[in-house]
Amino acid sequence: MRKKILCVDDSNVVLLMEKLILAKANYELITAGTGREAVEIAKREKPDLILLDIVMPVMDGFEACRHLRADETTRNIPIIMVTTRSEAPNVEQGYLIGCNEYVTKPIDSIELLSKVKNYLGESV
Amino acid sequence: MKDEKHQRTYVEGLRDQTEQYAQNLLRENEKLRALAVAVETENVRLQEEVASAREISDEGRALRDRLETAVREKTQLLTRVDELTAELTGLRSDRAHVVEQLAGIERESRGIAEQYQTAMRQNASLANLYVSSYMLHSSLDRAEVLSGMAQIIINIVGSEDYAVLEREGEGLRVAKASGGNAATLQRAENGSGPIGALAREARVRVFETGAGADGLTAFIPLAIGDYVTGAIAIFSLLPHKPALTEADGEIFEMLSAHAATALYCASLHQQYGREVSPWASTIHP
Repeated sequence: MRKKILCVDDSNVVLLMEKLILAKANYELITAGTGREAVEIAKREKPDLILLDIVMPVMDGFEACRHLRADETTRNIPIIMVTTRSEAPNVEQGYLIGCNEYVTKPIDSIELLSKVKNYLGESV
Repeated sequence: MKDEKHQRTYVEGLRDQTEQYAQNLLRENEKLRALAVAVETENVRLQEEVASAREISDEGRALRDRLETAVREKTQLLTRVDELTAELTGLRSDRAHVVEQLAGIERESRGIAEQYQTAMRQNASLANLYVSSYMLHSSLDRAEVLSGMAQIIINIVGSEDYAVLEREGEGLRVAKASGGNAATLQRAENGSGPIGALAREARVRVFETGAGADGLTAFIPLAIGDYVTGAIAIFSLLPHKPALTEADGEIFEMLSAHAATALYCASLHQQYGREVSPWASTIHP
């Protein structure tokens, strides 16, 4: 059964990049453009992993992560932050609210694939 | 009477002699008995010596047998040592061969890993170019094209400190900007300063991060043919991106050619879309 990944970003460039990188590994991809949309889709679709942008309109990634961790049905889904904000306080905040890992933009395809596979329990 | 006396004397003499002889015999008998005891003792001693000698002889034979066995075993062992030495030499040779083969396999494996990395980088580079091209040409809305350019600069190049400029007279008007470079951009709008000069040069320039004039890291003219319609100025990069890469250079060349036409088309559509074609007005009315 194909693993399902929810890609959350308000930038079409990033969503397109993630699709190109992850499609090679035969994952089922679903997308969301805001944090609020991400929370709704995650509850409904129960993805195996979430790639979550931080700076987004309506609801940012940190807030979305809090909602996801507070909900019984989405609490245990691994979340990888995808962010341009690589400074230590931002990364620490991400870990504190429940993100499992982070990758920086511009996205390095090898790094992203490797971390996704790691959290999906697949060989890198 | 005389005969009787003589007879008696004779008998007594004979008796004395017999007595003497018996005494002698007894003494001789004693001597012989002592001698017999001595001979018997000697005999016992000799028998013991013979037994001891026989034992020693048995031990000697056993020792000799063991020695012969040991010599045979030694010979066999020496032969085995020779065989093992030959085998070891063969194994050493095999080991050297295997080590050489392993080194070859490791070299090959490293080569394949490097090729894989190269393929992945090329793949990523092509993906970046594809996404950038898609973003530039997927809309005829000027704001969307400008937003697409900004997203390329932020998410593919890795800078949030940039300006997109469009030609206006002899100067460059700021169409979209992020970061704090107000003074630099004012001079660019007048067609002066380093950005004005670079726009006249009309070629992509890349500098060490922030080491170009006015803190520039890259300057990308937007040109249609030889005509410069605008420019992208990139100042600092994101903190985790230390420098621009070869792949960024390819993006810049693509932006230089495609962003200009994309912006031009979007501007034309904005002004004349409805007049050009009935369907065009339905895209971004």
